[in-house]
Amino acid sequence: MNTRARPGNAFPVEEFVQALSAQLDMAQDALALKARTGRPLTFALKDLAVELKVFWEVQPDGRLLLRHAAPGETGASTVNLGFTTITRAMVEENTLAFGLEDDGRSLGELGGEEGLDDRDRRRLEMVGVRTVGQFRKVMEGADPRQMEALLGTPVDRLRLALERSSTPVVTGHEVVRRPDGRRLLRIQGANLTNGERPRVRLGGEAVEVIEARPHEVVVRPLTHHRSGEVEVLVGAMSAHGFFELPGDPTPTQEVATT
Amino acid sequence: MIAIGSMLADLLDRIPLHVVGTEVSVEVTEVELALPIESRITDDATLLVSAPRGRLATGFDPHAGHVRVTFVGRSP
Repeated sequence: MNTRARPGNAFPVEEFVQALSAQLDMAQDALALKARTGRPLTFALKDLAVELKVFWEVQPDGRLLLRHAAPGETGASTVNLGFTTITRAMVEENTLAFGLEDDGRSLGELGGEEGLDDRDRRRLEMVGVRTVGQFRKVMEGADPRQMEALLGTPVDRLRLALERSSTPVVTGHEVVRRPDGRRLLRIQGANLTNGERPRVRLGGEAVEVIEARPHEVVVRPLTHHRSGEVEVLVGAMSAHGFFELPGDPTPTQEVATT
Repeated sequence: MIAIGSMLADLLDRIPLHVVGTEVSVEVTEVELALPIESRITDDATLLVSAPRGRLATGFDPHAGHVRVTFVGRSP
């Protein structure tokens, strides 16, 4: 009779490390809480090293998973994880800076018919490309054939994805209230300007553009605008969406005829 | 078994960090612990650990790991 314990679930390495980091944060918070009791000296976690017995699993898409060895299992690998405290400046030096101007949409936005498939996205993630903005930066100025050799993704799919990454798109909106009570509409999206001021229509009517940045455009709706279609015209391309402004609209003035 | 974060806080709690004697007082400024652990990863990727339960080996023993941790004291 085989009494070997059932193996547990396997996790991506980064997920396990993040969960462990969260545990250490909780330990740090618990230690910091003791300082509030008036103790003359408190302690903080300086460094931690954990040795675990695990099995590694490589998924067909290249992802690396680890699974803790179950009782009775033999042949497990040993993984050593080390954590140490670092300053905020060191964190900022070694992590990606997410700028507001960057197109933060996921690579999934470049999928669809003849677009990037799951395997293409996985290959791009392995070389550090995770967003549409990063993809565009990598591809601009690069020879598509060289990128095909590097990534294994056909040139046609890369070119189509690059075109899609530059297409204007509306992803949302929000109402902005000025101190004087006037309402402005902030239209959010990507590629909403190409260096020149875009033209915007709300419900088919042209409106004034107050500010224009690649990821957002702020416009002044007309007094009667309440909801309808948004159209942002960027050069020869356009992006569409819908808007809704809360509150009762100011009624239009009607001329009485007799 | 408990989450590793709880175990670390619990370990530090059990160490006398400040001992006042009649003539000499001792204050601990840094603690380094190294101990074997039994470990398990839950379905939500939480690492649970405990001190090994004993020296009697059975076919049901989870694999022993190891943890080394350093705490440093500081004035609040």
